[in-house]
Amino acid sequence: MSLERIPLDRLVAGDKATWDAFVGAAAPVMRAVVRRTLVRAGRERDTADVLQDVFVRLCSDRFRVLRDYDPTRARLSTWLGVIASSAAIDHLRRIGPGHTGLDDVAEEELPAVDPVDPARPLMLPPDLLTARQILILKLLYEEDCTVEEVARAVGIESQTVRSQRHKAFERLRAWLAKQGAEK
Amino acid sequence: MKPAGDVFGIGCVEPHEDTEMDDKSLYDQEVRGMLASVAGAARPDPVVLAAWLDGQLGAADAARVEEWLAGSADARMALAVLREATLESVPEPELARLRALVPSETRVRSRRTDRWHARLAVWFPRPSIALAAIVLVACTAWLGLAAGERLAEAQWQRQAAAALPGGFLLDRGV
Repeated sequence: MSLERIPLDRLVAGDKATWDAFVGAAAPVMRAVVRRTLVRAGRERDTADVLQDVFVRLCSDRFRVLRDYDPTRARLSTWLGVIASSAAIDHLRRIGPGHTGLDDVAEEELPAVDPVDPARPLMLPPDLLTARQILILKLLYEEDCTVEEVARAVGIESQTVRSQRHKAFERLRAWLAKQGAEK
Repeated sequence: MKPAGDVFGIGCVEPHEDTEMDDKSLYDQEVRGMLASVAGAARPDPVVLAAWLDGQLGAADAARVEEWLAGSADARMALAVLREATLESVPEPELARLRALVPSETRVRSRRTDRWHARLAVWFPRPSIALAAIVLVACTAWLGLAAGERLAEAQWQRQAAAALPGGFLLDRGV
């Protein structure tokens, strides 16, 4: 049975047959997300355990997490992918410092970039770039994605990625030139 | 020394050509550090992120999700994985363990089970048990009727005996 055709009312009521159908349809989607997340950190061997944890969370407390799902806002498969991804990332954070994102490290714990010249970088004005432009720049230049990969990730056309990148650099150059002129 | 790009040697700088290489070097030299100091938004609710992935969010909500994605390397990693959404075969022992998380005796009470025959099916899941129950009920009813009939007859006889002065016992058919 397709995941989107699972009768949610029977599922959250605890119907065994519906649960079995749900497992059959959801596990392939969620396993792919969990494994791909873990494999990037060299923890592919934890896939089965993390997948099991996610399903335990889904059915615990009388299916509370599944009751919170709102089918009018997103597809069930997408939502389950997000839940699985979140669980896998939480698992990587739990197991140790081998995978600690820069976001999770306190600023004072980060090594100084240049102990001789502690000059702080220029602060970007909050309204200079949109969130989408910043996201596109980071995906392009920090995650080394291609334009096509960025388009797929953000859910927009490749041409939009190029034009947003162009506009972002135009604004950055103009702002940096102004900063240079003021010095 | 001529400024970079001064190919004419007269101080006239050739218009800047906005190549990808220029963008990359500008990013690495100037922009990366600035963007590192930009604080990301709070992690959105899973259903909000799912709605963004499905293209179901309005501009304001989408901007908040994109702000979170821009501010978190982990979030961008999650995004890349989620966009590669594929199906993966699950080994049968794993599936069996996941199915076993909900026990088989769990039953759903729905409109169907509110019907009397459906309720009977819940109480008597096997035909043999249902048959035994029917026989038991029938026997009990028959015994109850017979006992009631005997009791009524005895009562009638008592009343008849009290009504006749000679104490003559009349047959009920007379």
